[in-house]
Amino acid sequence: MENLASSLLEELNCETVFTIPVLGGIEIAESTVITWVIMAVLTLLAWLLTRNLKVDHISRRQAAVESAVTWLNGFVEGMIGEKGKRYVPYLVTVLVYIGFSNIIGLFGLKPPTKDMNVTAALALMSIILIEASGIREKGVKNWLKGFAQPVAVITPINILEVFIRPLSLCMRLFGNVLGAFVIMELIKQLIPVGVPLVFSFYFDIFDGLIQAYVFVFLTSLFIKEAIED
Amino acid sequence: MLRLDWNLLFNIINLIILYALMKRFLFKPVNAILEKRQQEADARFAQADAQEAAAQEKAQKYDSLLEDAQNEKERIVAQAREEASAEYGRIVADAKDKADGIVEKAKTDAQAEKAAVMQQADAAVRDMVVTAAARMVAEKNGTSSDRALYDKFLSEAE
Repeated sequence: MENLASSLLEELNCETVFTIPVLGGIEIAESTVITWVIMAVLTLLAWLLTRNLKVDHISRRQAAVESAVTWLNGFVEGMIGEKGKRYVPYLVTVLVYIGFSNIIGLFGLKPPTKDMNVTAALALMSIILIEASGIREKGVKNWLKGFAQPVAVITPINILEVFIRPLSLCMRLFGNVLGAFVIMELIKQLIPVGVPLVFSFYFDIFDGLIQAYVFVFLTSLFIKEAIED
Repeated sequence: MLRLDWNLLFNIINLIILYALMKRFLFKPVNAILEKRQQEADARFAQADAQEAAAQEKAQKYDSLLEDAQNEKERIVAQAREEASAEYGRIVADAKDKADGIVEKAKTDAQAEKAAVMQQADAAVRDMVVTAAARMVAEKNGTSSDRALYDKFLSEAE
């Protein structure tokens, strides 16, 4: 039992991979490094898949990448609406990144989304995008006025929402991935053969993809709300 | 696990870089090719539309030509019919005229015949009168017998 607890703690811990010796040492966390790996893999994949695209007589590879991109774009556009088309590529990127991060546990790596730095970064980007889209669409004045709508009384709540939204986005993703990770580690420690496979389907694949979807869905919803009022 | 430090910033930078990379290596080429295909499809559709319009125009032209030919045919047939009818009328009128002439001639002939017969009858009466007169003269029977005789003659002549 002692052993289990310590190994679990070790798994939960986000290790520092290396330290940059400036400003009293900047610690680079595991999640950041794994994100680099994911970035490299995704970029390499994108590059490989989109080499010499043709208009006619397309290869299977091209058909696959085309339908995947079209599907993802349509999927996000369906949530954000016609007006938010410009934000679709970013949201698709986030969707793919979170999805990939969440199922990377299958490859034996620690999901970067298990580190709150990553989910906080994602949530910060989301809230910046949400508010920026609102300012872009309505102008600073109307954006500020928007806080007092529909009635002036709820202005404090609207202002609080600017902080609550990213916090909830951040914590939801972080909590879900961490929880799934903890359960999976526990199962792996207890019964290392066969059983984790079954649970992995749910906790790694299903929950991971659902959380990626939820994150992007909520961000799109907020952007839609910001630009369509 | 629960730590917020420099890595937050690094992850934001990571995200921005990843977005740029995805945009450059995934969305740009794929959207470009989709756009290009759309353009080609549009061009093809436009071409097909133009061709269809041309075909339609041609068909219309042929239709109108056919209609013209039909009208021309009808006109010719109508004209022929009219001409034939006129000819027929003329022939019939001609025949009628001829028949009228014949009838007229027959009438005149009959009149002439009748006149001739009358003349002959007249002559015969005259002869008979002369004969009767001669007979009366021969018999010398006075005026009363003369009158009787004359009446008798007249009734005979009638």
